[in-house]
Amino acid sequence: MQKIKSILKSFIKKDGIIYKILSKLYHFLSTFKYKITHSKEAKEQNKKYQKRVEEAIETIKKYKKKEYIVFYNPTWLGVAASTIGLFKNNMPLEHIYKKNDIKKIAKTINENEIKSVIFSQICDGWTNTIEEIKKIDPKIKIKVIWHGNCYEYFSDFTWNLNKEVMNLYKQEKIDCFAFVRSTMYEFYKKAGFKCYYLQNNVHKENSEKISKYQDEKIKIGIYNADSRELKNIYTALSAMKQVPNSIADVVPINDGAKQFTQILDLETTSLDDYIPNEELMKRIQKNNINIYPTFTENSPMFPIESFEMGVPCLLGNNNDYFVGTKLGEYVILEKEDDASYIKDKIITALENRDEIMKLYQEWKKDFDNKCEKLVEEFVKY
Amino acid sequence: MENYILLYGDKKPEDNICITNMFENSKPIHLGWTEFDYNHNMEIIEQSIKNGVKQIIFSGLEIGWDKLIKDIKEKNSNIKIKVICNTQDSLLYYDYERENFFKLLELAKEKQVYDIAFLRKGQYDTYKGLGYNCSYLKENYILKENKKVAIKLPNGKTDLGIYPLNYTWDKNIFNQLCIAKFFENCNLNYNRLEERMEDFLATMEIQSTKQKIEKIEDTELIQKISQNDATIATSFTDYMHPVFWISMELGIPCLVGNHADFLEEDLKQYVITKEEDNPIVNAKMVENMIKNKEKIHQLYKMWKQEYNKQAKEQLEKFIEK
Repeated sequence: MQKIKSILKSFIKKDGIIYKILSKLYHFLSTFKYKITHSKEAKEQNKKYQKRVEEAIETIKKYKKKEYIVFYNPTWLGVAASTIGLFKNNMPLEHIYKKNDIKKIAKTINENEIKSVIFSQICDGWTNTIEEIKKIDPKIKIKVIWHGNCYEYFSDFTWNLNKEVMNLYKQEKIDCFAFVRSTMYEFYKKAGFKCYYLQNNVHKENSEKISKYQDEKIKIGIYNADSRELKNIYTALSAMKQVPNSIADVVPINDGAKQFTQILDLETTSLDDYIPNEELMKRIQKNNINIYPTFTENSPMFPIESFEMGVPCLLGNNNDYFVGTKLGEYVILEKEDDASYIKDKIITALENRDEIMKLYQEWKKDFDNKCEKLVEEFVKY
Repeated sequence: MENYILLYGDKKPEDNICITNMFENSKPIHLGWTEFDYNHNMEIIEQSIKNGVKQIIFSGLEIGWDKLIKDIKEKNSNIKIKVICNTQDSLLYYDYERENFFKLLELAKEKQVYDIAFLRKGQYDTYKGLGYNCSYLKENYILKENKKVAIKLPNGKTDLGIYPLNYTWDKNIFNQLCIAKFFENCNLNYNRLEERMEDFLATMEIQSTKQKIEKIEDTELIQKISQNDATIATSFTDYMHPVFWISMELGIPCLVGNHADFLEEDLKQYVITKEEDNPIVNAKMVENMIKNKEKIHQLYKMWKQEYNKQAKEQLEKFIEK
């Protein structure tokens, strides 16, 4: 099938009508095939979504007359953690495919006199939910938190979703947006959209602190970095190799990265599969340092989680954390694709580990206040 | 310096702009694993050896070329094979890049490949440290006299040029397009690779003129770039920087991502952005570049004179090794 696709692609102009027809037909047939071959799984999944809708309806009732409620998808781990970290009246909800469920949710919101509904990113069926809420009562405010940046429009899914959301804004069905990165906030404001600025936050004060790093070897961690090219795992591994006496903790590690560590002769303590966040938080405490040299981000959770667990984390200069501070000078990476540069930054950070952690504690106090104020402003609108 | 030949494929045509400009003796060969490709390539190689070539330099190790290398060494053990790496660590995420790069390292271990040249210092340090026989080359491009064209004169309207040559994630296309939104009275000239680029610019109401680079060679790029006040090439990661070189050689400042590690401080502060995905910072940098266009050109010319010498010396050292 892939071969037929590539042959057709080389003959047919990508912008042409034939390409568009074939692509729609291909999409339709693939969906049809998927529905037939996965009918059992689909039924199970629909049951799960249905249950989630019922739970959501019950939770909405508990928030009667509240200023706001926030919908988030609990299976999108980053977005879920960020939403829980910022807001109070949170509502886990997954995709909604049944019209009746959409109507039920909108009706319950209206009956319980909720003043504004915040959608933390958009799942399948949520744009229809927005339309239904506005249809019942146009006075209910709809706010959407967009967690991506413009880089993501490279993905078909994100671009199509963005277009859908922009159209809803133009039809006055979405009242405002919030972005978790200042550049996105400024850009959309400039483009004429009503928007707010938020920052993701992490609170781990009550997390179990189980262990401390050892001094025999320099243990460097990189996590959840095998899934996308922009996570830059191979440069990170090269950098780790250049740090004398280093050992890499990579979770999860895929076959390509594993083979690369063998070529580099880099000692590892890696795991093949993802582990739950709670377990990961325990694991990273054994590291001297963590690195997160991604090419683009918005308001990443892992670097803050790492600091919260007492481990410094180097991160790319693609978010708003630590900008213009002494802490930033130590931990922000300005050349994410340069292994030698990252190696130098790791060594400097290790030499100044205690100072970095002290600077972080000070920064975090101000950051917590800032996050609270930003949320207040957004919720107030 | 005359007993070598550089062989290159068409997998990364944008890289060929620099690489064929750096080496005097070069020839394109096929990418592929079929008997037809193999025979075509081997014929060129055998003819070159007959003509006195003593070393064969491959630009990258592409599909099917490992067999070529092994067979050349089997038939002519005295021929030196060198490979210029044309991928960086960040692109090893892709199976094609990774598998070919691992094959290259394997061939170097087996001494079938005599030397690997890297154009990025970080990579050179890693593999030198691992004991591979490798060299560090300075990427370069020199605009030939007969290719020079007149450039756009200031006319009160800002023309910005964005010419990504590939629609891939690393080109960071949409964050680059956003930059024009922060300019008044500005037109964005861009290489339209996908309908989505046009759609995005329309949605965000950014005034623009779509263009199409038909043939990825310097001649067409020179024509297009010359119509702008500044160009933007803030990809996340790049191995070679043809748009940057052509633009700077023409006297049109070009904002480039923080992976052009060949530049020096006084010039870097104007043309290298440390924040490739930040359109606000980059818009300010582009504005500053346009204000200091002449100064940047003078700094570039001074720096380039010395750089050309160094690049040539390194290249000669690599060939003579």
